[in-house]
Amino acid sequence: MRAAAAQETQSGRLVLLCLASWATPGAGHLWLGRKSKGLVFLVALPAMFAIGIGLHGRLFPFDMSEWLVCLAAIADVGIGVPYFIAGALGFGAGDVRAVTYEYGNAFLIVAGLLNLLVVVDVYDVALGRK
Amino acid sequence: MWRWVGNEPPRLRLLMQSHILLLTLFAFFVSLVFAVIAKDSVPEQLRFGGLLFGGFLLSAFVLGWLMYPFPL
Repeated sequence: MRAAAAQETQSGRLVLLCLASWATPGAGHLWLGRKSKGLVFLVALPAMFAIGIGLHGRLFPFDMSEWLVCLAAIADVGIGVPYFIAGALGFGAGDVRAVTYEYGNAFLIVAGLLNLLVVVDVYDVALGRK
Repeated sequence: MWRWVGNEPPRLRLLMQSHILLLTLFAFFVSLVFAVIAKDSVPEQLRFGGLLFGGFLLSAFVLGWLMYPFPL
């Protein structure tokens, strides 16, 4: 009974940890005491995202009829809270005429995917695999 | 390399036109994050990150020259 409760607490903490790590890049590592790694992610990933926005990249919508657009949207959301802040402030509309449009998309998509990789890393660290 | 677009932009509108600079910046960030995820000690991170960064740049130049004859 006590072991089951402890396991439930552990899995609840894991979910919370992964959510925090997704929402704020690096937060999971900071939580686990890996400060230098957390700080690198905290600076590098939002910087990449901001550069993508600055290069007129587009935050893709969840358009189910266009599955490539949908996949790009999933990758974009991977960055967490910065995605919603940028959307709320009106950034990320994308300017297809800009010469840097595709570069911007590459920065935005890869920043999100890298953050998802960071979440997986946090999960592994929390389980003691790393 | 850098050019301001617009007269008085409501927000910062900066257009970077150097492909090499953007490529280098992209390679730097991706190498940095991969190295920090994959390795734990700083010397290992530097070695692995440097290798990745160099590999990204080298492959971009090689692929660029390989595509040079094609009218894409």
